[in-house]
Parts: sequence; C-alpha cells; structure tokens
Amino acid sequence: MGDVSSILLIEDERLIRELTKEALLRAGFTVHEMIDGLQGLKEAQRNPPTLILLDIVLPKLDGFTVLKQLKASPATSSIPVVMFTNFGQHDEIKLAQSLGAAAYILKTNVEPQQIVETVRSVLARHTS
Amino acid sequence: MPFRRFLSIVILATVILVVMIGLISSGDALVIGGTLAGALVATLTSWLFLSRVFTKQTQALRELTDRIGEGRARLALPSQDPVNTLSEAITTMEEAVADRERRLRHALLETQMILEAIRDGMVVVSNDRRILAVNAAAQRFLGLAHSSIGQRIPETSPPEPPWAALTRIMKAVETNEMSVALADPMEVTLAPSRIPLADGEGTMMGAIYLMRDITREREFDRLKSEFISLAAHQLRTPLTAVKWILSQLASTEMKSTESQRDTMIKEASLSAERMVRLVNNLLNISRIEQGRALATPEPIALEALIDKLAGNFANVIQEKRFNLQVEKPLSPLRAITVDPEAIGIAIENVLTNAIAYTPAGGTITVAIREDEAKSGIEVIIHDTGVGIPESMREKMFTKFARGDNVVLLQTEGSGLGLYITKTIIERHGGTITFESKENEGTTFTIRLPYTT
Repeated sequence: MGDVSSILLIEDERLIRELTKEALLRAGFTVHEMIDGLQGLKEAQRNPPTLILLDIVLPKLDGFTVLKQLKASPATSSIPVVMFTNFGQHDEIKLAQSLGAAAYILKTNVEPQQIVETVRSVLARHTS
Repeated sequence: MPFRRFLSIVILATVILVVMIGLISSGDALVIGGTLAGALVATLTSWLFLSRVFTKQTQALRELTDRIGEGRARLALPSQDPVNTLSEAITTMEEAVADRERRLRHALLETQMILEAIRDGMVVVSNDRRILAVNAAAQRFLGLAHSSIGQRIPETSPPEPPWAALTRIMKAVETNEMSVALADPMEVTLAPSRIPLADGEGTMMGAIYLMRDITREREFDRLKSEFISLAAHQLRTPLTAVKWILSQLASTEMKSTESQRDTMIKEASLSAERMVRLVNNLLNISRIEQGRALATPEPIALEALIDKLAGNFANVIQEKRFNLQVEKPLSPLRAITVDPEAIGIAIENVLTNAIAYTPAGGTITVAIREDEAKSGIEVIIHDTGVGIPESMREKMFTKFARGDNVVLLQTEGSGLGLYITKTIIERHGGTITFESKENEGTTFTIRLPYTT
C-alpha cells in the first residue's frame, strides 16, 4: 500500500503508548494518540482514521463501550478496530469478536513490530 | 368365647350323662339320682360363677391389649385377681411397648427436626411420582408448600408453576448436571443428587432428591477467577513495558542515542519496580485474607510509626515541593496494640494516594490524636489533591474498583491499596472513612481502638 494510513491509538499507559506509536511511525503510518475512551471515541467520530488500536481498560469509557459505539454509528462502523490489551481471558476475546473487533492483540505476547504486522494484515484484508 | 362356653357345657353334660347311665344300670337309682342332681346344680353354679369371673378378666385383658394396640393410656388390673400373673406380664409388656413408642416418636421427631434444620433441600418422591416428604429448605428453594406432600407431580410439559423447579431438579439429576441455577421462586444455585430408595428385597420404592445450595461457592469462584484475571492484567502491563524496552535495546536495527538508552533503562527499571509492588500487594492480600498478617500484635507508639512512614516519602516530598505536616498531641499518646507491619502498610497506602493525587506544591497533613471517647487513636490524612470523583466513591475500598458494566481500573496504582488498608484496619477492629471534594482535596480518617 502506497498511501499513508492513519492509526488512532487509544491507550492510557504512557510507556506502552509511546513504544507502540514509535513502531507505527517507523513503519510509515501517521498516528493520533488518545488517552481515554471518551476522547478516543470523539476523535474517531471527528476524524475517522484508517484503523483504530483500542485498549480495553481505559479511564472514562472502557474499550468495549467504545467499540460498541463505534460499530453502532454509520460514520465509524466500517473502521477496523484492533483490540489491544492485557486481558487475555477467553470471555473478553469472545466479547470483542462478537462486538466486531477485527483482531485481538495481547500486549505481553507480542513486541511492537508484531503490532505493526497485525495492523498491516488487517488493513490488507480490509481494503482488498 | 361363646364357642368355648358351649363346648364346656357339652363336655359337662356328656360326663353327667355317662355317669348317670352307669349308675342307673347298677340299680341304686334314687340315691344316685339325688346325688347327681346335687352335683349338677353345684357344678353349674360354680361354672356360672367362674365363667363370669373369667369373662370379666378376659374382657379386661382384651380392653387392655386393645388399648396397648391403640397406644392409649395404660389400664391397671386389680392385683388380687386370679389372673394376676398374666396381668402383671401384660402390664410389663405394655410399659415396654409404651417406652418403645416413646423412643420411636422421639427418634421420628429428631429426624424431622434434623431434616427441617438442614440447609440442603430434600424431597422424597415415590415411584408413582408422589411426594412423600419435603423439608423446609426444599420448600423454600422450589416454592413448594407443605401441602404438596401426598400430591402427584404432574407430567405435563412444560411443567405447571409449582412443579417447574422440582421437575428441573429431577431432570438435571437424570442428565448428570452438576448444578442448576434457579431464578424462580428464588435465585439460588443448587447441586442436585439422587439416592434411590429400595425396600428390604431390593424393590425400588422411589428416590430421595437432595439439593445442596452452592450459591455462595459459585459466587466465591466467580470473584476468585475475576481476581486472577484482573491481577494478571495488572501484572502484564509493566511486564509488557519491560519486555518491549528490552527488545528495543537488543535490536540492532534501531540506533538509539546514549540518552535515549538511559531513558529506556530507567523506564524499564520503574516498570520492574511497579511489578514488585504489585506482587507484594497481591501477597499481602492473600496473607490478610487468610488472617495471617496480624500474627504479631505488640504495643507501639503510633506517632513514631507515622514519623518513620513520612520519612520514607522524603524524596518525593522534596521533588514535588510538598508541604508535609505531621500534627501530634503535646503529650505522648498511650501505646496501641497492633501489628506494626500491617498498620504500617495500611497507613502508607493512604499516604501514597495522597502524594500521588496531589499536584506539586500541595499540602499533606497527617494528624494523630486520641478519639473523643478515649477508646482509641485517630489518624487523619488530609491532602489538597484532585479529590475522588463522585462515581468512584462507592467503590473506593473494593478490590480492583470496577465500573458498572466493564472493568475500570485506576490507571496509575494497582487498585489494591485501599482495599488492603481497609481490610487491615477492620481486622484491628478499627474503621476507615473519607470525605472528598473534587479539585479541593481528600481527608481519610482511620480509627483504631486500644483494645480490639
């Protein structure tokens, strides 16, 4: 893909957010960061990104609620959302899938480079 | 009785006839006739008398045995009677029977009391689906009245209202379900089982359905796995940071400057520190919940403990230009018997929050004083911090505060500190309360009694 995809990164943990952002920037994406669920949702509605990386445990509005609202609104429902969390329980993964998440990344199990790869593959699937 | 009387008369008459015939044939008829008539009269008279006595006696005996059979009050027989021995034997028997009956009644009552008192539900059902017994617990769980005893459980599908829950239990047993969650007539989770009822020859007569209330166990299980899930999440967060930083440092393709590397190493070290604190907190929780944390209570001067704790924060206080004030009474307070380590953790957690949620330059006050009733000591920790949002107040002391629908954790801390504090304080017989105004500050008040 030659065009520049914009990624909305909704993550409250500073260090995780910075390291993820760096990896995405190095891969050539543009990145917008938001540190809570409410801000993240508003930003997605204001400037719909190509893809959203969404944490679950977030201040103000949790990731599941954000995902539900994104999928409920026609303006944002087609944006692929990658859940990006340290909740690895079966129930949470199933819930994310049922709510329409495109992928589920368990932070501890990956390194920033793998996030980039997941983002790329979701985008490739989404645009083809 | 009339038959025997008749038989006696016949025998007697026959004997008399035989004797008469014999005597008549010998010739001395008149003398013999007179003697005979006398004997006959005497015999009949005594027979009549005896028969009356016997009738009366047997009637009394009959009445007595009837009464014993019916289990009514005992009947005393006149002791001077000819059938005295028999009467005494019967009286003894009657006493034995009454005693046995008393014991049986007692045993039955005891069994009933046990069945009623038992927290597990029990329903006895006969082969033809008739209810033979329902204890109080089962009546409550299944919404069955006591009057259901003797009734047949209809085989309608779906089952009619009063039978729905019991039918569900009976089905669950057949399909080997481990638990049944009922919502109506009450919310309860039951573990059902069945004991077949057979008579002496092994013929099936029915079954006892038992249902153990496992609602609390289930809830406990749920909380436990939720705790593990949240604890894992909280541990993974700093672990992720450490892992990512290390991989970045090890990477040859990323050329970072010396100062970038220094920053990353510092970050990794902070994350590792956070993990250590978290693991300690989790272990503290486990120790406190098992009651092991308060193993060594000793009398201490609380002022000295607070001075020591305040000293631990000296660096951050200087860094964030806090104004920390410790207010103590002029004369030393009475010693208080507590577990110093646990109380140290409890107060430290409140202080950590005050420092974390107060902007640089703020004021933190720790006041120690005897309570008004002079029954214990109060520690009041006041800050000029961001305050506690209204929505968080109810959940302040719960383990990993949770939002209405999904997890909403404090993003900085572990979400365990105040839970640990509250548990420790309460184990000492004390209380912890707070008042807060957003953007103005928070005041925590810990009250510890001298004697728990």
